[in-house]
Amino acid sequence: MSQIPPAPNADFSQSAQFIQDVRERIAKVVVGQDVVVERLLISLFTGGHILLQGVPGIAKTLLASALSKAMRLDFSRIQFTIDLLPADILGSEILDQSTSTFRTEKGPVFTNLLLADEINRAAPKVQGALLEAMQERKVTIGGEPFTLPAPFLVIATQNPVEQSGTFELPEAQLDRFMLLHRLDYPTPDEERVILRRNAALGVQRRDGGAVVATEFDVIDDSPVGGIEDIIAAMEAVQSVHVSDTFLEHVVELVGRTRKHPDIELGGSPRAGISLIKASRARALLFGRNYVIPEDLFALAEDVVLHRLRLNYEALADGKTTANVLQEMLAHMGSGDEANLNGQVAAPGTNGSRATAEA
Amino acid sequence: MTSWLLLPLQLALALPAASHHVPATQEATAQDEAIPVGVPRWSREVVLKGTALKVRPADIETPLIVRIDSDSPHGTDRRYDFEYYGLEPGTYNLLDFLQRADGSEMGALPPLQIRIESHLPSGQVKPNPVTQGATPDLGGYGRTLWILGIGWVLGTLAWWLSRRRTVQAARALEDTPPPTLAERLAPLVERGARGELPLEEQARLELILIAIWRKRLGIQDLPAAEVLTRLKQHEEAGILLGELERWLHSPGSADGRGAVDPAQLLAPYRNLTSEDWDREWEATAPGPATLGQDG
Repeated sequence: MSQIPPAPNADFSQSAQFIQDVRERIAKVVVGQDVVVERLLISLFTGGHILLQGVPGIAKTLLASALSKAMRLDFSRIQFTIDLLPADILGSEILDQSTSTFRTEKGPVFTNLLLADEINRAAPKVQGALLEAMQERKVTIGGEPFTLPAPFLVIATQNPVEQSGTFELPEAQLDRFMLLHRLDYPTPDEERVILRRNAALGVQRRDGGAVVATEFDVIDDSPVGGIEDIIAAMEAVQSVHVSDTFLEHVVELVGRTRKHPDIELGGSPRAGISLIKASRARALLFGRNYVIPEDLFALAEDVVLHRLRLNYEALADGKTTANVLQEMLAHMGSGDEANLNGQVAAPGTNGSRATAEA
Repeated sequence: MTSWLLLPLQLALALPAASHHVPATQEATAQDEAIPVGVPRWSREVVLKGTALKVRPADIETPLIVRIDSDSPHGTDRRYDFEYYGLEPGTYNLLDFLQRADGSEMGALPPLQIRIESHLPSGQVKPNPVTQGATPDLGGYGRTLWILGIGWVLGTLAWWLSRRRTVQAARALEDTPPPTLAERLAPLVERGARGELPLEEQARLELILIAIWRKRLGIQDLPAAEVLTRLKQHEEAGILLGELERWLHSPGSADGRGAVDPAQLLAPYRNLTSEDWDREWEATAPGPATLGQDG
């Protein structure tokens, strides 16, 4: 087995500074959510896409907007609804009556950062159109192919609570998202800061009138970096060293998801690829030029969980994919399904690896 | 002259009348013939004097079975059609098997002799012995039944033996205590210290050391993402994991620069028994409440 070769000439210090600046800029308007920012940067630097799952009102849009402004990226937001059509996202051909010719009107997908709000509210054909664009990074309008801008990052959101009138994304489409991050409410301390900041926003005079200012109004429009910095960070990610031992860990984890008795649908090879990609980006964010098991353990839930489906027996027993994944992570390295927290099974009782060690 | 001319006509008219009046003569012809046992014969138009006759009741010993097919008046006499067959060889008078219907005496009637003979040799009362032929072959069906039967017995026996062996092996395993983490770790450490640990076992060594420290610090219930963060806050575990990462994951280790000495790294984990581990853990492991103070 040969190790994944790092890309040459990567400037780690420049990328580290850029990442630090972006995080500080976002922290000025978004309180907490460090992990979400980390996941967004991982997605951006690895060319993946991210699905944020959380209740409304926890600064998802603000976060995306702040990120785009900090990096001088084009930003579009689409509110997915039941009557949305694929052309509303991708664009369409419009008859120009002055010239009697068709001209192409590009849709909001032609941007660097696309916030697809409540993606599960749109019809499956709309979801499919966006997911196809996410994967192929190009769209076809009126028979003519158009390449999407680079970088291209889709930040999709879905509300896990209000499921009435929604179209659940099937596993094959969820697999297109490199990360699915579950947003949580801010801690009490963070919430106090949020409230204090909001109370201090005041009123903003505009066009002879005034509006109550929002957090969007205080986002600093001056970027801390641009496309070149992002490209440098992407190259730095590619230069992060991945050891064979780490590959073994990834192979074991993905393999366990396919063999676990409670799981009907295990991780695809894309899950393993995403784990490696995301781990490399996380290593860069933490200033390392090599990945370590901590990256795997930290990212496993976001990368693997949405690719798993429990079987009926496990669901009837009240198990969740999160529980099963934690159980698998705890047992990694045992070579069998026994609980490593206590005693392990006798050699040969569960799998060949245990026998080999004896 | 006239009488000579009428002679054929007179003969033609006279012959039927003559035959009608002497039926016993015809029966005499039948009586001369030997009748095989069991073969029926008939005597018809037999004219006998007296009142009507009927067949005597027969018993199981009767040698001749007689039946009156028809009975009709013949002037003052009666005319009969008889059917009969013999059961035993011998000469019989048919009249001996008849009686008057009104119960009167038979009177003097001319005998109607019947001779029954057997084709079997004298004294033979049983049929000829049947020649014993070959037993008919039951064909593939019988053979198939045997094979299936034997197969079923052998299969059941094999299944029972196999199950018995499996159960015994399972019981033996249950009786054998599973290897402890220390026992499991020991060969990995030995080979790792000698630099002979293959890649797959290097990965397992790292994960087992994490699991050991996870148990030692009592943080088995924490999510996996937090476990390593907590372990790195611990003085001893943090150093171990940091060195393991440098040894197993850093690019410097891969190309030989700044490589970690596995023998030195794993020295504290050599030659420890399970009891040593447990004692050491009890003595040094902080509880979850004090864990945060280690970092």
